[in-house]
Amino acid sequence: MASVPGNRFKQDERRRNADHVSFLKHRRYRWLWIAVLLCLATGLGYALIDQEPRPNGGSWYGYTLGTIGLGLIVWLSLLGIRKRKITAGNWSLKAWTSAHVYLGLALIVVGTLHTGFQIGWNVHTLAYFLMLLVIISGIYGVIVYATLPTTLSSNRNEMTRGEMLEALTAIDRQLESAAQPLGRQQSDLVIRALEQDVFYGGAWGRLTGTYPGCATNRALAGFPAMAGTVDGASERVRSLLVKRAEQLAQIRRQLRIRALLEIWLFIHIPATIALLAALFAHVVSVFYYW
Amino acid sequence: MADCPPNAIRRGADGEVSINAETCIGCGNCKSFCPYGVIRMDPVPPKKPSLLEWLFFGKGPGPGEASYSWRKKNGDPDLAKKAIKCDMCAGIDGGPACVRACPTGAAIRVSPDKFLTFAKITEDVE
Repeated sequence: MASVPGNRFKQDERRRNADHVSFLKHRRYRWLWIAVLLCLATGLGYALIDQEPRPNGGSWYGYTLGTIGLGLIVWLSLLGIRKRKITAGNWSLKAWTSAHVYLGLALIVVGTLHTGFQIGWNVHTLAYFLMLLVIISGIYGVIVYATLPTTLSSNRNEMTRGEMLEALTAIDRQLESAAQPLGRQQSDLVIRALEQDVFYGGAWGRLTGTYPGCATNRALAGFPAMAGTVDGASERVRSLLVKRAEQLAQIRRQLRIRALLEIWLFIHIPATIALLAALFAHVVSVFYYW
Repeated sequence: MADCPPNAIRRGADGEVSINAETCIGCGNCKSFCPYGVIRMDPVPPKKPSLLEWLFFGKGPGPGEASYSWRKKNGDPDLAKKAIKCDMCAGIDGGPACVRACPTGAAIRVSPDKFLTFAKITEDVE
């Protein structure tokens, strides 16, 4: 480190130390404070400014809130572009994410005040509720990003996904040879367990972790634990099936956590696109019927 | 380093290893001898269409590193393969792109002397 000038080293060191901080705590909650200030300022304005005949998106204060809201929504949706465009320069996606989360939450206040609490069956309310849908799915996303990764690594138990599948293949090989002396009925149970796709189960199974048609569990039910059994082969197959079920359970837990970490994006992103379209219709119709 | 005929691979002041793309002759020695398996041989990739062209018109392979088949199809076949490895985005303003691109703050750079004790660092700093 001798070649690095003293001041530069100190600066780098500070950056290195400070950088391993979650996007929620980024720069001592800088964006949280900015969002809180924004909410307080717009809330105070709403309470103190006399809007005639009643608070409405069409008063001058309503237009101000609407402009802030529109600007925020467009900017927040640009996160998708920012994270895919790795350009040079001193920007950090963590700062962007932090601002995205807190300013997105502030949008609940700004957007609601902009409506003037006038809700109806029209494109304006549609835009408002799409905005809430996007924000609520985003809140879910923040919660799972903050809580699930720990569960994910503890479930992994220092195995990679490839190793989990390899472990399963190894168990299957043993199971196949151990099942050779078995009778027709029990063999069929084992064959069915071995033939079933490891990734069997639809989206619902993934998200809830329920696999009612799991052939391994069915096979286990067909091998009742018998104390002091004389049948060594069936006992060995049973213990291998238990091992297989455990390995499958680890893989399925992994899939479930991954699915829970990703599912919200399937709502957040399409709803954002729909929101931008509804917002466009909202703005155009407002100025058309000026 | 000893096995590089044009002496194109060097260790920097902070311990990072970088390969000079100008002088590399593409012999592949460093790739074979790399104990960590981080060096690979590839030609300079062809230029990708911009992100918006991909977004609106589906041109090109999209964000991230282009797939091998796309590079092979669109690249110059006469271009020589050279040794490449992560050089911590040397010479790019703003530092390592992986750190800048990490949205959650999981990817960071630490100095080599701190690396091994890093797990002990708590978040008290900020």
